[in-house]
Amino acid sequence: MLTQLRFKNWRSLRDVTIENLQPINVFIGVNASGKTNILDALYFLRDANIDGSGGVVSNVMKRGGFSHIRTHHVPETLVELEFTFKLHHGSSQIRYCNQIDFINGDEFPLIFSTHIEENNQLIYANDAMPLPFESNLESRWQNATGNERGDVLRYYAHLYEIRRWQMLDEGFVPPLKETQDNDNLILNLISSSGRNVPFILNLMQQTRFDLFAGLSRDLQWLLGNVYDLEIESHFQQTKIKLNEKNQRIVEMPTVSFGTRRLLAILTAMYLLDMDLSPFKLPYRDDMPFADLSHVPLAHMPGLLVIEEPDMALNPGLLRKFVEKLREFVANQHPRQLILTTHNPTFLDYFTPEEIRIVERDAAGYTVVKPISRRIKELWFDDEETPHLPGQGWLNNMFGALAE
Amino acid sequence: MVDECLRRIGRLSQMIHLMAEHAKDIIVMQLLFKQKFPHVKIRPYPPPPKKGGISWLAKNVEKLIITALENRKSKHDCIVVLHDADLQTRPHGRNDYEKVALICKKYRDDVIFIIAYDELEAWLLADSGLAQALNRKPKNYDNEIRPSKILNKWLEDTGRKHLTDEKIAIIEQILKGLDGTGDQHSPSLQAALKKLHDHDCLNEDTQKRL
Repeated sequence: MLTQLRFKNWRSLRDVTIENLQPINVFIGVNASGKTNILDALYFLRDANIDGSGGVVSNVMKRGGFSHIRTHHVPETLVELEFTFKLHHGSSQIRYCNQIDFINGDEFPLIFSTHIEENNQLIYANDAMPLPFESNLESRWQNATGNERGDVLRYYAHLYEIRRWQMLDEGFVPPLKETQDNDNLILNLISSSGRNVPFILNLMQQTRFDLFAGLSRDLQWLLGNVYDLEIESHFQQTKIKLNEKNQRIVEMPTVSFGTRRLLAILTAMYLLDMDLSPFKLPYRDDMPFADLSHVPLAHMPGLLVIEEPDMALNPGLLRKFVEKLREFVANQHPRQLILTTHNPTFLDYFTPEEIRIVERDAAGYTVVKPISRRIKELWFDDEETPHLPGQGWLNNMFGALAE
Repeated sequence: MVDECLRRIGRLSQMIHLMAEHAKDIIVMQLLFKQKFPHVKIRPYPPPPKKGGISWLAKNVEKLIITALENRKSKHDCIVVLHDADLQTRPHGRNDYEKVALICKKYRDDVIFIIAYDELEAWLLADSGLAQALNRKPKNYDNEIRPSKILNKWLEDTGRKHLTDEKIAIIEQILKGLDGTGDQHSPSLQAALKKLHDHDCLNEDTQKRL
């Protein structure tokens, strides 16, 4: 499970550390406070990792080059993206720091370096590694640490988790029906727009009907009027159909955005329980640690990042929806959620510890902070008149409210 | 020094953390400041819906002050507690008023305590723009009994709703015409603004210096 994130010189994130991450984390902040920059850094970490050799360069260029990812008005050019996770079979904390540097103001990153620490002790360091960075990582590690292959795999397995981060951006809405093409062949990751949801569901229906039936039940429980879900695939075209309780079959074109977004969220949740090893993650066969294909993926920790999951959902549905989210993180395998919202009614269902406030400081840089212990004691633990977080938000108890 | 540089380049606005007994009082202050000191930002700490009044303020003002101290981004941010004097309507049983005053005194290094005589509505009755919009003449209503009743009568006579709603858009409509000139006729508003000036909350002197 992720316990800490640190971003340095990434867009508005001049130097931001987000500590004590919980199983559920809800980021709130005014528009343009930097929430999307945080999520984009996570996208970058995942995609640069997935794309393998050259992934850093291609993902920097995808974002418009160095000038579009760096913090402006600061002299340093070094960008640092760091995450710390706790091994789920012990108390070890692994800190993984990626550094990207640019020389002479070039738009291309020229240096990528990696530091890995276990419980604050450096176990791997490779400074100024020329790109592409993944080549010979295994032997470099062994040279540096003398670790046996098994240990190396153990650590690297957790980096593998990043490749399973499921992320849905603000505007995600699964398509009504979709034709398969080269862009949506990847089925182990939900696309940020939800575009490949029909294919993932089709695969789930065919290969893991138990999960598909569970998803269908969840949808029925959440929406009431849904009888079940059915995926129809002819040639390359795949359609999603919802059967309503009155037995009328409703094809996706007539299903609202809210229902479709709910379906995408459930798909992302259940996708983490699918062991897609026969479908191979987008990995080159000659890459080191190919042995990891034997690791049961469904047992690995899974992170789901959703921007504004409550958008287009009826307020009356939110309680059940959050119940479903809590059920997801209580999975027998470690699961974690990072969410953003602008909705105080939605926020009411979370605890103060799960909330992170994203703000700009006086100099215009993003800061991320938890609700302070003092504020929590004053307003949320007050036995006589306890506030709910959403109400505290509207009453300006902890910021993140537009002026 | 850093704050001053940021203020100079316009990246640090003056911020007033404002707490009052009713949400509508905070909204009225926001509208007044929008007219008179547009460079000053108000961070409101309103009571929760269906709560408020001097008893609520007395019970919660210390928590609110501590909250504002926690939320303060710069030492230039001002923390202001505002309530009606209500001397004419509640001359006795003033425990809650005294409690608010005592707590503000306890935090006197950080908190500015402002009282509207006899009710905040007197500041609105003294406003030339609003009075003109309501076909009346502005004057000093600080010593009137229940200026809120007078204001509601004025509003009623011109077909406007009473000033009771807590929604900013509705209050903005009700007080259409307000131009922030109430201090010309209301000594209590004048005194309140002077107090804010003296504590450098309105930032005009600072801006002139810069």
